[in-house]
Amino acid sequence: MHDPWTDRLSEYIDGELNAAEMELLERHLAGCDECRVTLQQLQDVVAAAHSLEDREPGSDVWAGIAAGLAAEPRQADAGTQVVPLRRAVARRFTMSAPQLAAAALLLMAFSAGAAWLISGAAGNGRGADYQQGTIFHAAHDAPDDVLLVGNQPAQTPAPNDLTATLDAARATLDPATVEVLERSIESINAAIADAHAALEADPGNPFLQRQLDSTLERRDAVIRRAGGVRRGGT
Amino acid sequence: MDRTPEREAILGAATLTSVTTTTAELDRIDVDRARAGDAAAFERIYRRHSARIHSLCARMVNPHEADDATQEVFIRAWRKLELFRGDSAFGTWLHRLAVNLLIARRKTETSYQDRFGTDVDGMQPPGRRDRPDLRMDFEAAMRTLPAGAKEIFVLHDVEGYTHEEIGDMLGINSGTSKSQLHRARMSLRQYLQ
Repeated sequence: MHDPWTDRLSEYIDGELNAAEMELLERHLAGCDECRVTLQQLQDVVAAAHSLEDREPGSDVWAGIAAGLAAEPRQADAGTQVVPLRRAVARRFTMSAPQLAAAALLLMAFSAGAAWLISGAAGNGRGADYQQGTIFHAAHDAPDDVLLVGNQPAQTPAPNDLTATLDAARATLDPATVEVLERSIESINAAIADAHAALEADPGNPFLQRQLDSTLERRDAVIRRAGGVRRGGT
Repeated sequence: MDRTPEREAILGAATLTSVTTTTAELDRIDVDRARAGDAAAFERIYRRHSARIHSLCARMVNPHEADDATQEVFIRAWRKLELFRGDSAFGTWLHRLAVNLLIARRKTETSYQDRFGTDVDGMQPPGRRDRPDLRMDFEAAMRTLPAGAKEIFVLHDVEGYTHEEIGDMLGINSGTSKSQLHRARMSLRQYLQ
């Protein structure tokens, strides 16, 4: 004989029963071995589904995609209106202090990306493997999280303008690296400008001042290293 | 990886203490470039998301169609990049695009009755857990589900969509989604016994 409570077990697992239904079902479970076993089995199924891992394609799927892309090349000025992505840094810096903190973190990420790409320019080619506590070679090789760790103060005076440093280094850096750096510079400069604006609106706010100072210090560290790599890079 | 003096100098001199560069930020840069026609940037996007999309395709459709479906998803994404406005992470947008495409693909191949009318309770499990690769067997068990039940099981229990979202995507009510999910789970539990 079919136990009608069996049909409610998935809803019970998913928390979709109301309080009264849940109480009735739990009372039933206390006295029904079969439903308890079924409940455990269903929970095992859900757990198995949650534990499935994604796997890379076994064959070179990209080749087919590339052929498809070649059949319909994109042109930025082909009559379509490109919608620029919203700039997260600027958006966050125009608001509250906590949001400014989040933006400062993003700035650190941009700085890290710049340092990491610069390091790639100084390295020995593409395809470097990830090792925890080290840096990555190229953006498309990076996993979700990149950790950069350093604890030594900079030894050389900081140039005043990262753009000027990049201009001087342009001849020796990879064009892709330069492009990413330029994007980072644009975002960093916009963020710093917004931070100044936030301080004008709330002058003397120690939190805002600390965040700005910290961001400037980090930016200067990248500037110094960009110059160093340009001179010493391969 | 190489630890050149330049790399070491960068790491040492930087006063950074802890920095995270996320996939979303890399996507943001590469989507912008891909919109301008940079296929290499789009390939980087593909490399970052291929495992998740290909696995979704293999589970929603079947493994031998997964390569074709994955290609279709990324080519569709290439065409539709202008529609991505950055309101959500690109990965979220891409995943939803893939789900919609796979559902549409399945709808053209099977009738509603084929998708939801099969008696999943009467199905035989594909094997027992006497093989070492349990996860592969569980994936095989999922493939024995009728298309509709399989879609709902994958979307709810693997991908985490709600019954309301699934109902919207499949054009069914949430009650149907719940009952199909339960039937799918009841079928799959036989395999795990």
